[in-house]
Amino acid sequence: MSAAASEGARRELAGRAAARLGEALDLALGDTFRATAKRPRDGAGWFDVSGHDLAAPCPARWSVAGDDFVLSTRTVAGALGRLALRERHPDEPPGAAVDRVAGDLFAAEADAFYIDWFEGLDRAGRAAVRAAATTWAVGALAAVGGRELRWQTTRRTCNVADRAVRLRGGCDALDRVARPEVLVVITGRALGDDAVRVRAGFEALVDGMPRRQTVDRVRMGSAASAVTRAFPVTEELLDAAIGRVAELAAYRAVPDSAPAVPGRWCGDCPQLEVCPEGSALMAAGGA
Amino acid sequence: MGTVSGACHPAGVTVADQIEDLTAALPAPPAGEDLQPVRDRLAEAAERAVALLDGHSAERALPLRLPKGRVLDLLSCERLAVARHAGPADGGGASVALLRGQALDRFVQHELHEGPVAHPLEDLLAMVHAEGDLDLGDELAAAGADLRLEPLAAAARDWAGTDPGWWPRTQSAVAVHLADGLVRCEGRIDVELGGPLTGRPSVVVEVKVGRPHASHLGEVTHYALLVALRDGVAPSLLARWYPGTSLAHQVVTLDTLDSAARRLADMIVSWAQLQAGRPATERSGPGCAWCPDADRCPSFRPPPDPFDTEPEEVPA
Ligand code: SF4
Ligand code: SF4
Repeated sequence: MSAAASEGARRELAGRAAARLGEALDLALGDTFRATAKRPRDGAGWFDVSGHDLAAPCPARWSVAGDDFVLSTRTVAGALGRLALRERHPDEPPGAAVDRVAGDLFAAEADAFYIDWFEGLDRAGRAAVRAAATTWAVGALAAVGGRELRWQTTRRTCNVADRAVRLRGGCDALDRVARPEVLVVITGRALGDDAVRVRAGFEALVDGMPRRQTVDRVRMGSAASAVTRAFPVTEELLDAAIGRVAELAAYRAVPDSAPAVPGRWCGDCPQLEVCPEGSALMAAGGA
Repeated sequence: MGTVSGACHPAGVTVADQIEDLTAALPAPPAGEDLQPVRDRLAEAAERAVALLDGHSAERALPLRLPKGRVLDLLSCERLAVARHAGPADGGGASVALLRGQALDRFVQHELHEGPVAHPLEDLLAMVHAEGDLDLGDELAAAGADLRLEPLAAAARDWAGTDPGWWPRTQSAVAVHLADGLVRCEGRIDVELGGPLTGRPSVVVEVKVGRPHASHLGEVTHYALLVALRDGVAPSLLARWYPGTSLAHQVVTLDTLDSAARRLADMIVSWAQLQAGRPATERSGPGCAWCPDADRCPSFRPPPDPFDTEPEEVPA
């Protein structure tokens, strides 16, 4: 396949995926969540689907709008780690790069979503964040075998045409050489999990729809096992993600259709007090 | 096995100094094809485990998970492992010893990334709150003075001056997935230094409160195995750090890895058998101290005083 034909095929793939996503959301949402105006700054009346949401274990929890995102070392380590890898000098130890960028976050990334929280921490709290970011950065480098990549510090988003729905990507890096042919995502999951395949398709979708052209591959990396697995972007891969987005959308459109799946995640669920299944699990001593 | 355990170190000798000395002239660690027999042994055990579960009602146990804690529990007592898997150990929260261990891990982290801990309890709580672990924060605050944090914070000063060129990182994940991911052996290492991308030898350090114990040695050799399979090269040096003492260390040989692999292979098959319904055996020992079944197990024995044992050998 020539480069031009390949590009054409990838454009077609993106176009067809956008059309299929539209159809799937028509079925899932009906007349709800129609975009009648530009998305307001606070996202009121819209819902977002992120790569993290795809693996939401309890549909009932997901079905209720609410922001339960909490800033912590766990949610910030990757962002600060990516910033450090982006800014890292050749041969600079990742921990030193983390310390350097964290020492002057305003200069490195003034609009980082965690900047106020981080700057508000005391010395010990910041040490915990820097430690977690260093571990993340070294793990990410090990997963990709030290390869030079363009580490991403801003997240891609994509509003679905005519719908009050935004998809939020979580691509960690682009291949420096083959850009934009490969997206790299570091995951804490085992690479054989089906959720990893769905996530790969989702990242290809979020990246490909606005550009109207898909990448060739999404490479998912595991820091814990220091390997990556490539997922060629095909119709099938994109459909797996479209199917999951539509499933989540249907739960949001008709919350009563969303089953409660209790588990260890009930502990921090905002609905725990009004959820019989979660309460029963907690009363029995947790998962 | 080259283990040095429990010796007080001369004043002013840091962990960094010791690691520099110990790694100055190490033999090349097992790597590449050397590791194939170990891989084969584990792959065979994992296939057996999956065959025991696949297609039966016990299939829900797949993927079969063997985090480090479960491997150690199984080594100690099968019934203990099953009981801990079934639910939380007790309703009373973590013991003071466990909380002190959590504190020491964080003081080392603080020393590596920020320097000396100034206000032990305050700094510890700040770190735990940044982690978002409010329950642990509450437990630590409630334990307060019982934790005796000052000596732990002072001991963590031994980590001062660690060269960033070692790429020191804490609580790093390590995982080996077998049988197409249906068997997962996972752990988190207290401190890792060096390794393939750094141009320096790979060093694994477990941070321990209290006196050396047989299970600690089993723990580090288990990590050596997982790191070897993750990186394709074994760590050059395995060490345990007990506050106020020299590093207890050993060089990793093929024998170390082979013995850890034999143990893990047995545990993989045992755990699969237990999930498939085989009754768990009971073996009294230190695990009785924290066993959720202690009040109803006929084999319960008051746990021996760990200070009475000074083990140097990995249990077979
Ligand atoms: S409490 Fe548990 S089961 Fe209920 S909605 Fe929340 S996560 Fe789901
Ligand atoms: S009480 Fe002791 S012997 Fe009995 S199950 Fe627990 S650890 Fe095993």
